[in-house]
Amino acid sequence: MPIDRNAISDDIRSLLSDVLGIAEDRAATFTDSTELFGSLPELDSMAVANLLAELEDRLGIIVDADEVDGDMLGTFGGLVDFVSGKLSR
Amino acid sequence: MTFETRWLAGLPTLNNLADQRLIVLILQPFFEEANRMRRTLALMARALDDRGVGVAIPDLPGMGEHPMGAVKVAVRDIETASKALCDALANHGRPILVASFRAACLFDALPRASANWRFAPEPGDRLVRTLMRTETPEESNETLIFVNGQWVCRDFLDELSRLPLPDPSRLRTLRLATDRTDADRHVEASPLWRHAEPGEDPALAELLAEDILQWAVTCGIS
Repeated sequence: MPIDRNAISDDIRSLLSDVLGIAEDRAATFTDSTELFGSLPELDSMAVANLLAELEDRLGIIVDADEVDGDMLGTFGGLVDFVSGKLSR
Repeated sequence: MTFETRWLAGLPTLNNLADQRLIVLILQPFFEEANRMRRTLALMARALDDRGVGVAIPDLPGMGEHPMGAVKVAVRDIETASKALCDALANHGRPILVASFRAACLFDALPRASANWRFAPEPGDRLVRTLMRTETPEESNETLIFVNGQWVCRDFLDELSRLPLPDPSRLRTLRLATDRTDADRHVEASPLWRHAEPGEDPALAELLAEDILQWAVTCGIS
């Protein structure tokens, strides 16, 4: 089945809203270029750990430690690309 | 609802347990997850109390305000304490329903429990995996790991990561709708234990209390 990138984007917006406490209408404005790690004060190291755990639970993927880097968490689009890549394997 | 200040088997319990038709022993999530769920669990406990059910909400060894800190705790300490508490509560002559949350489900197979109920059970390896993502390696040493802003006994986390979820005989399991794992019921709610800040969900607290009571009725203990 082809990967629906828009659906994954919506899932990640919902997840960011749940884990970080970001209002849904604010999360709805996130685009591929929206900066995350380093720009969102809510996203500290514990929040990253919880975000990854929730990604794994909701999407049935496993995120290895060496996959977590600036590309993956730097922007919203980077995170969507990472998840899309995982789901397409 | 009144909390006693005395300690029973090293754990705090509530007043008036002998007056209730049923006692619910709540085993809280581990580490920081407990802080994030505390307010909702307190609301759930009040909802149970309002329905004439006794409630005990202990801090297990290594967790919360228990005198044994996370730097010394071992799996057997939690096993011993939870069994001792359940035994002591059962001596009130009322059935005990164990309601366990997240990784506390690893310790909920207690001989004198009449029934078990779980919310979002978390295998030990998943809990440890999430904790280890927060490690500050330069602060860790041979015996202690610095995770999520606190030192935790390395051997304890090793033990925890190898523990399977037990399989008590009269068990009902609830999970969030976003969790793909099988469960008796999936509920629409946010994963409070993963929130950046502690919050509360009164609707979820009511739903959980009602589901626990229904399960007690189904099991013939209420």
